[in-house]
Amino acid sequence: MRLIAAALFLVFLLLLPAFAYSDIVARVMPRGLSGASLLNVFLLIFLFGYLAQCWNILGGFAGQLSLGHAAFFGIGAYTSTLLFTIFGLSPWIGMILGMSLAGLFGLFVGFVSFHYRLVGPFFTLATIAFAELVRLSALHLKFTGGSMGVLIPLQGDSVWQFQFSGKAPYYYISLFMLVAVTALIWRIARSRLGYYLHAIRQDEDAAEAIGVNTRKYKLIAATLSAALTGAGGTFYAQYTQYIVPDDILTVGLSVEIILRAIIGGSGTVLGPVVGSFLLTPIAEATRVLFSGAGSGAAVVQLFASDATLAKKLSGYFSFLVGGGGGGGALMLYGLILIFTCLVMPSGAVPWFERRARR
Amino acid sequence: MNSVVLSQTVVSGLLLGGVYALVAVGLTLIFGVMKILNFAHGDFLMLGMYFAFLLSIMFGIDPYISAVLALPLFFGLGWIVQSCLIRPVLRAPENIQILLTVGLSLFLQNLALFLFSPDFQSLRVSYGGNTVSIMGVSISYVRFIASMIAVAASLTLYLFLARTDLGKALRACAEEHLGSLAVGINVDRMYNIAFGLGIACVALAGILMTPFFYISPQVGLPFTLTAFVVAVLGGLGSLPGALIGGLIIGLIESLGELFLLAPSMKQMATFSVFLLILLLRPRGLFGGKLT
Repeated sequence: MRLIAAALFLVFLLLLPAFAYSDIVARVMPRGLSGASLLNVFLLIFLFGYLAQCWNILGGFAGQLSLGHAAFFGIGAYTSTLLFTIFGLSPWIGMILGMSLAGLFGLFVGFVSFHYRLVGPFFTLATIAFAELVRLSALHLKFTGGSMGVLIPLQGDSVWQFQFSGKAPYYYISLFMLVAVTALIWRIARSRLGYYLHAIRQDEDAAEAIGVNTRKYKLIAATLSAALTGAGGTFYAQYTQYIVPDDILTVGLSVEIILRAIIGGSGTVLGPVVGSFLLTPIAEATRVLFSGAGSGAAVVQLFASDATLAKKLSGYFSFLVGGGGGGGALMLYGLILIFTCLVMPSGAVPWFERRARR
Repeated sequence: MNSVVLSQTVVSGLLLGGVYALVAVGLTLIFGVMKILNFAHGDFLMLGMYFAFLLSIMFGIDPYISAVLALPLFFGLGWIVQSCLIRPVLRAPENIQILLTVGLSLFLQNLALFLFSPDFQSLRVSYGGNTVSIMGVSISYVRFIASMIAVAASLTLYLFLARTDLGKALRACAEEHLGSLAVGINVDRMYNIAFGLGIACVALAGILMTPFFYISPQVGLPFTLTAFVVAVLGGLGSLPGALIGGLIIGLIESLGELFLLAPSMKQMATFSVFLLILLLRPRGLFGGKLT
């Protein structure tokens, strides 16, 4: 029954690009949510689901809470992009090299942290610090384009150059990535590696005591998780054709990635996918509704002026209704994360499963 | 390089370090008593800054008066945050505790962005540019005052923990959770007090910095990390450690700025030092007892 529902849903997703541009969809869906923008929302669901799934290997199954996944993402994006702009190398090959580099960096971060026995919040802090070092390097090195980032020159439709004029090819690639990584995780969850990681997450000392080489399996998880995240970075770079450190290398992005996994249920096979389907549309809607481009200088002027208090407050109110100074979407993320921790810390999927069993 | 420049750098580093110490004292107190690492710590510093900024532009209130007003206010805020948000997850897995404070950080940061926009603000005071010169070293008034108040506040907190009954009860909670319950200490209330004090400390540090530091919604993260550096260096949970750690990190930062090629590399130096300390000296220089 479940399998049939999943298969039907997959067929629906596969057919979506065919009818996304039709009149019926334009009429049924809210304005601005048909055609290319509809595909864009789904594509972001797939991409963030994919990234959350990658994080899930290390953060969910192995229980090592990384807040530095933006670094692996950025390494993947920068590697393929720079190899393309400097040497004209196909981004597909760049993707493989980016995955290798990101994986190596994950191995390095893991090796150093696990060697010095960083656990819990200290591991989290180390991942933040490593990721910030990567961001600052990208900002200050010459060949990464600094804070201006890198623009990928358009070469027209070309499979080999990983460039397409329409959204549909990107849509299918991201869908494929999500399905593939979910299948991989489904395999891992039922393998020896999965059981070892599960044991490590439950109680690392106990796992060690019964003979699990905990450091080895944590390292495998870190490397695999980082390498796969790197591939997501290449995809993102090709899709947006423009990368900047303050977009793709921030702690904020790392939090966005793990949010999906936490909300859906970290350490479960479907959690991150469900989390992305739940959160991404909300996030996109808030982004549109609360775009927020108000300027702070105007607010300061308003409050420092001689106007009456009522006038000041009403002026400020209209500033906030217009989205304020921005940040509406991320504010909501923060609330959702707090809410999840308080109400269903194991995530939506385990929560529903418990409900269903009753 | 002449000696004036060097001594100037050393002095400004120590002054900065005094403020860092107060930020870290808040973090280390919370960790010492509750064993919670507050990833939203720097964001309360940011809130303190905006508090002083708002009072200044709306009513022309001097930041040092705002600082006095802020202490009970932020103590109360910390109390509420602990009893509503932190307390329910005290027995939850460690990762949930981290995620909760990360969520809080994300929320506060973007609340400020929403309310005040990403524009950098600064609070100007008429005496902001005044300096006093001692033996050829000129010291900025506001930096000097900030550092002195910060160190005085840290010492007061230290004495409070060392000498008063309430302080003893807090220390008891830090060292022996079950034991404190057994002798009839209201541990929940101690947690509220510890969190309130920690938040009041970091907000005070933020307000003291407003006359010479920019204000922006994103100003918190570097301070969260600096607080972690300082607290870890001094030994998490140790108040004197945080004080000395603050001075050391302040000194390293300003010397780094002097000797490193580009000022932009300063942050990289900070993070590298942080990683080294985290990896090599996880228990800090002085172990980890509150007093």
